[in-house]
Amino acid sequence: MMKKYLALVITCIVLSSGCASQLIPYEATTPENFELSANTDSNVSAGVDIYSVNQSCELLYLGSIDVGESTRVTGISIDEPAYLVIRFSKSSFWSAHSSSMSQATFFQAEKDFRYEMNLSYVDAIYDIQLTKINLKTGTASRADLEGPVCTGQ
Amino acid sequence: MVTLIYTPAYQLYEFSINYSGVPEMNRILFVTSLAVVFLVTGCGIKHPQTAEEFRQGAPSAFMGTKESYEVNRPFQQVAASWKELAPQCLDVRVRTESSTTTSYQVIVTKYNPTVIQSADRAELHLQQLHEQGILNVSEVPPKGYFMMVFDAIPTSAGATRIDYYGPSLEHFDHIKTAVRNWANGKTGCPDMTK
Repeated sequence: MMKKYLALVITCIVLSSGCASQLIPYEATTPENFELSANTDSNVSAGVDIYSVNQSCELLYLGSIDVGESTRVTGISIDEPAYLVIRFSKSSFWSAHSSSMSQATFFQAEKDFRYEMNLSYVDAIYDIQLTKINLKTGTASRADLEGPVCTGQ
Repeated sequence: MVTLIYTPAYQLYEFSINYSGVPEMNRILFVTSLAVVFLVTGCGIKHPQTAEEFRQGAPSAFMGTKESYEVNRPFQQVAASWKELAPQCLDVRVRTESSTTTSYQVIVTKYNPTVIQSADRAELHLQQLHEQGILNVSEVPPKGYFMMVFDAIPTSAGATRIDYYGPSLEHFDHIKTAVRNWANGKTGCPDMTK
């Protein structure tokens, strides 16, 4: 009986670990220069996966940030481009239906600038607004999401 | 589960849907199928092969409609917004997976937007090309079956009329709303995985 119970517990642990998210929290190693906020429908969660991009255009996954109701502030390196994958995940309590969609963009943070990214998903329309703020002049301007910085990607 | 798509014009997109409930999947397939089929005159005889054929057929088709509205924005700005945002938002590929204990199905749909502008008219065509998992029952236009057509026509220096041809189903309202938002100078993309 004890062995069966033990086997059941082990099975549950293995299964749950297998189903667990592979995402790891992003931990900034640079000064805070990037602010994230989200405005989404209640059944939608927003998040950003952050990768570094080396000179060979190889991506290295650094971690993820789930953006809840409160604003998140983090740091993104100014020394090399980053690759941001912005995710919107939808789930329904009443059905087994779940889906996710994402948009990716290259991003190069600059010295003396602060960035604000607002993620919106309302009534099946999503929007990603990126604003850059010059810390010396205080002026804010819209920053475009960038296409690939590497040819052949 | 997940597919990576590179859209040369802009960015890398990744879309995935996971359906594990049969009723939900049936609903999606039903709606999608209707959208494709509603313009078939008769019983699967011929799909519109051009935007003009689509305009001719949509208003009188089953679950098809023509709608018109006006926006208070100059025609050139409306056209510029469409040219900027349609490729960004609509040039995507959606991969849908459904699985039950007895079946597994993958449907891949590529959405292809086209914006054409002349001196007094801008057109936004949205076509869907089923790349996997759907049997096409009639001749498919090069960029897929026509799904929606929007025309922008200047009515005055500061106003533009928009004509919409396409499905009347509520399921597609978010696409219509997004295009209308663009015409009004707003941004935002419709979730094509809906």
